[in-house]
Amino acid sequence: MKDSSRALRRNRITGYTFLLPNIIGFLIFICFPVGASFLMSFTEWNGFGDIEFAGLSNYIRLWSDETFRISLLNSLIMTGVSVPVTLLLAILAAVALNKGLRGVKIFRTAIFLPHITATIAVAVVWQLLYNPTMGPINGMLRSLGIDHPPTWLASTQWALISVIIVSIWHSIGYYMVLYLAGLQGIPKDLYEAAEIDGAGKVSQFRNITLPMLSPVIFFTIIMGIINSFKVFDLVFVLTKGGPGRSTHMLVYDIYYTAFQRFEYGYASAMAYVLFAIILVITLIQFRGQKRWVNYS
Amino acid sequence: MKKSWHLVVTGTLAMGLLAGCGSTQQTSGEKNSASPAAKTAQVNLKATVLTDDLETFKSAYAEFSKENPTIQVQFETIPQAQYYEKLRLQLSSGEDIDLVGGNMDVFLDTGILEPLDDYIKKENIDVSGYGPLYDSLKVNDKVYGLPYRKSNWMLFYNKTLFDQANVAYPKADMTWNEFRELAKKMTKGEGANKVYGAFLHPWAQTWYMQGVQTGASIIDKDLTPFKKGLQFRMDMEKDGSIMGWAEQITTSAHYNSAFQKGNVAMNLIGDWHVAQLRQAETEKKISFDWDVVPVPHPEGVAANTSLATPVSLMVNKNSKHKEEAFKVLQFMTGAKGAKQFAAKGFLTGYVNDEIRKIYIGDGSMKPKNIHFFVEQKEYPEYPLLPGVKNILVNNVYKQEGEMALTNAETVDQAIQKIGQRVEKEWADKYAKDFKAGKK
Repeated sequence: MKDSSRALRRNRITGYTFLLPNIIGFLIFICFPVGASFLMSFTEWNGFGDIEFAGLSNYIRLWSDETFRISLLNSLIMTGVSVPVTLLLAILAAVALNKGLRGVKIFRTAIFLPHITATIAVAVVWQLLYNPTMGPINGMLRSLGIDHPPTWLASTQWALISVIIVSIWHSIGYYMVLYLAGLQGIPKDLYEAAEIDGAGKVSQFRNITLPMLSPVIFFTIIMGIINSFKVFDLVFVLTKGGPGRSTHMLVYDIYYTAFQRFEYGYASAMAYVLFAIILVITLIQFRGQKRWVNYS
Repeated sequence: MKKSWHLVVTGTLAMGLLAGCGSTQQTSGEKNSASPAAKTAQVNLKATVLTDDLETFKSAYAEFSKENPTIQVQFETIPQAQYYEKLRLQLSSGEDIDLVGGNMDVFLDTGILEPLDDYIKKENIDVSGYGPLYDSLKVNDKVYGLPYRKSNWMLFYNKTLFDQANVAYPKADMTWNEFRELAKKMTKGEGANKVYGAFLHPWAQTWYMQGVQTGASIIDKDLTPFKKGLQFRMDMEKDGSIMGWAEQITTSAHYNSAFQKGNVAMNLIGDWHVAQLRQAETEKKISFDWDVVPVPHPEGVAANTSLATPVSLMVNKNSKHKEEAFKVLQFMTGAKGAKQFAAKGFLTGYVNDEIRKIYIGDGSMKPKNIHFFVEQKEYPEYPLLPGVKNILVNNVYKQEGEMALTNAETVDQAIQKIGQRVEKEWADKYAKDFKAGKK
């Protein structure tokens, strides 16, 4: 007995020794900054001189900050639109490409490609596509008889939608691959049994595919929402938050506050509000999942 | 097994990184504390300056070190896009940078700028060479930096296009309305062959300039003088004589490439464009003839009234060798440094007849009428106070201007909104603590 417990302990020590470098890295580069920025959110600091304790004033200031309110609203709209549309299209693409059709690999690659393309390149190409006078999108719309097509990225009404479209196009591939993996994991015999019982394709999709895919769907919804709230690079390259503040989003506002206005405390408070929003949404989903996610 | 090896490798890498950081910091610390003791006479200074100015600083320093062989200066730079962001971070982490170059207003709130009034008095520096700029650079009645160069606005024009159209060149004394008419006259063609009468870069300065020319400031309580300029830009867009804002944004149109393309008759931009065009000429990228005239002015304002932004050299309060650092600053921003900068085609903060002559040159280089630059009456492009550039110019004025340019707001609404946001997003925070010494 003694021997085995000693061996166990030694094993553990070896295990933790191997983990140690990673744990140290995690503590220094993740835990410490996360904790420090939380404390910082109760202070006022521009990077120089004394750090002044500010209590809750940063959080109170958020309520009357118009740019923050606009950014929050834009982020909510972006998430509300882009996540459901992305996931729906991704699931349809996955189901369509799950069968061994001809050239299926080419289509899969084509849909996945945007995801692994650098955001900068994606943004530059879409800027050309969106060009109001010479761009192919408006060229097509004009040939369809629309005389005054939107000016897309240069319009306060259309800029946010334009960014959402790019973001959907950019991320479908990633979620499609996850769904494909999920679909491959569904046992064939379930479909065979259903077919023998006389179930049609639609009913098979509803009663076998969706429930069996529910853990993946759950995961993708959570990741989708987090990624959507976190969007920064796309906005930065496509619109810089403009025109006006029509595409100002939360993370862009945090960047602007910290590195243009040099208000580190206030930016930290914004970051924690973002964190709280994501946390709450995720918690609600974890509670709700029992009702619809099937892990069997 | 593979995984644990992976961990070990990444772990050691991370540790190595940490150790690396630690050790470099140590050595740099050692160097600074040890070298003055080792060689008593030698003083090592570090200066961070804008990329465009690095070469000139180095050649000016070569002159300086002849007079001051004991002062060693190491000049460094940071790419333009991250210059202020990164430099502030470096300074806040206490890096030993003795001299800092750039727009003074960006560093005012840091409290690390050494007030220079005592040094100026002690060295008995003649500040008349800076003209009115000296006083307008004062903040809370103190001098925190001296300008080694400045950026002034001017109107560039494509002579060849005017010749082809058989239209008289822009006049040195031209009102904005005359400019608009001239631009209309010069506009012709469609699509790829379109010739634009003028190019107004999508910066807010190209419209708020008209208000500043009348003596208004973008932090004023009453912003009505700025309505005209914004309306003017929209009117010109309606005329079709400038590229529309929407098209500029979506094609990332740039004043430099736009003008070099040769289909823009007049380009409203700063003196740095001279260097860009000269370079394009040596690289044989442009074949047309060009020149400059003063920027158009509002009715009732003197001709050649322009906007300028000084670029300064400042001393770090925490420097161990402030006396020596000021010596460098004095040289660079004074007559001797100004000669070097003027010879390279920069407008200098310090000006006298000799420097004016060097700047204008012997007439062998374009533009022919470069002398207009050194005859300008200038207002600061924006008040040199903290936050004004980043919060007001680059965000509030830009964003609300865009609202008007995209017809999401009227001009009146936009200017009213700017007024509210200036109060709320800037004045509440900075107006109490910082006052520009504008005379």
